[in-house]
Amino acid sequence: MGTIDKSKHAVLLEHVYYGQGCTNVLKDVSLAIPHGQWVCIAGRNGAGKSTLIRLLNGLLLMSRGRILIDGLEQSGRTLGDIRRHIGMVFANPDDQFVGLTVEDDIAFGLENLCLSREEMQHRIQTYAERLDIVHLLNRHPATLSGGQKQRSAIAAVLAMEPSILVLDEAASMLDEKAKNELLDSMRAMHADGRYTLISITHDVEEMAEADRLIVLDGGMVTADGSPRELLLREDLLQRCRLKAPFALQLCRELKERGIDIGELVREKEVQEALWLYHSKRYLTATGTGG
Amino acid sequence: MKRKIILGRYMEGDSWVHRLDPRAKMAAMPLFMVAVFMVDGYMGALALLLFTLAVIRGTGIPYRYFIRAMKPLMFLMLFILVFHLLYDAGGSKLLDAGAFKVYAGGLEKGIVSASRMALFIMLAAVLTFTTQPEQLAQGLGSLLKPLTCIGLPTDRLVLMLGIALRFIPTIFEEAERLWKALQSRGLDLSSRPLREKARLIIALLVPVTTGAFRRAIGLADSMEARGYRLGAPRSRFRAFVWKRADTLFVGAFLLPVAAAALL
Repeated sequence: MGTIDKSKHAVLLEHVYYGQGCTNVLKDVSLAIPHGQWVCIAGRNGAGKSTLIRLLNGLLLMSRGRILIDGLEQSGRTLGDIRRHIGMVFANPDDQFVGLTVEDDIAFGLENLCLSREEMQHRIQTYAERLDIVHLLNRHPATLSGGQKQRSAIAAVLAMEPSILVLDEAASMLDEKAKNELLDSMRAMHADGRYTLISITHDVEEMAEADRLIVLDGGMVTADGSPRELLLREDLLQRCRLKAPFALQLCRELKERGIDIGELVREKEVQEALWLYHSKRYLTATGTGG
Repeated sequence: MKRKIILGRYMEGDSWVHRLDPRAKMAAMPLFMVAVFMVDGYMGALALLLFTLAVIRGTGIPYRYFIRAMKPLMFLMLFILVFHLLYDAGGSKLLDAGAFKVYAGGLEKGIVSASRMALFIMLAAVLTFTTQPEQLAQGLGSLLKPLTCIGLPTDRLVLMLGIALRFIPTIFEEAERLWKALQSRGLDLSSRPLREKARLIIALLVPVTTGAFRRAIGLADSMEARGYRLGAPRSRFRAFVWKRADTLFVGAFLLPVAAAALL
């Protein structure tokens, strides 16, 4: 890992350890995440996922190793700067609201950046529009639904214009509809290209969408690669206590019935493959091509 | 629980009282308090009442809300009135029924004392009904600002107050949920003796308190992650602008002081 050009990485971890007492929660973790990548971190409870991402912005301090964020080496002096680069959304939407209204909550982070009033107003408007919460700006957080709270929390974080967005099981307390909305927002952010997304999740459908999947077990990285490959591995899924994505299950069922479209993990890809399969058969049957 | 208490709640509106600088409203309170304590007769109390009613009219909030705000303290006001009636023997005798003697002086003092309380609650209600809690907290902060030079961390106090206000409904909700969970598992308070009831309510406090601590830790993480650092300089999103109306509003509160002194 030492030979990688450091300025090109959003996040770079070199032999990072983190321990509480005499037990190591994280052992010798080395990672390089390039700009613009969408990374999912999986692993069963207690595998060290939340610890890992809390080390990134110094909410927890590592015991040994090196962490570089956007080329900045993490230390007591750079922590303030590093936190400007990383935005973090937590699992419980209730516990991340500081302001008495959504607007004030977004303003809280901007006040910490010492922005002018005009700039704050401009950013609040921009990001509220982007996450479709303009009509909620004057509401008290207790009056919002779970999905609305989480969208507001994301707006509050994005308004600070970080280059790295970390989501710590941000969808875990949401219902199916809100979860899909969140996933839509993440897709949009990924397509935007300005953000590096790091998301802890137990949702295989979300993992299937990501560029990269990192599996933690017992404080160590046990797998790191493309979700298309990793999600096919039964042993990994079992270790993380996950079920195979619906698309993959479908592919396997179809194969048993003699329709072989390969093993795919995204629903969209399965759709495409089925279309292709169907039209090929049609063409062969009618003798018009093939 | 929270639905019954109306004093301290914000009522949305767009009256000139709503639009006043919270600092003006807060500065008017001590002036009014001086007037309330200077009053010692029917005329003064009546003058203050008329003044208060005029301000209430200005808020555009129906009178009945202000009466409801007084309800929890009605009993105390009645007690003050009765106390004065029974023990204050000044002026001419109005009623003599054996052991009970009512004097005009006692009646006046009783009514004035009770109305002091009523007046003050009404004006406090004007303040909280027309000012958003966050503005209240920030207004208080900027009024206390001069105290920073003797080492009082006013910014932190304002933030603390704001967070406390923010979490009151959340923690109430949690307590209610716990209460329902206990009830659904067969807890029935009505059949239990008072001591047992007290014990059970204290038992409810433990999970609510641990819950509050858990939330506090989560909130601290979120605040730190968003770049909050103790003592670091911050800018302000909500800036107060002191207008002529604010000066006039505070100035107007010299009227009741003068009235109380003269009448």
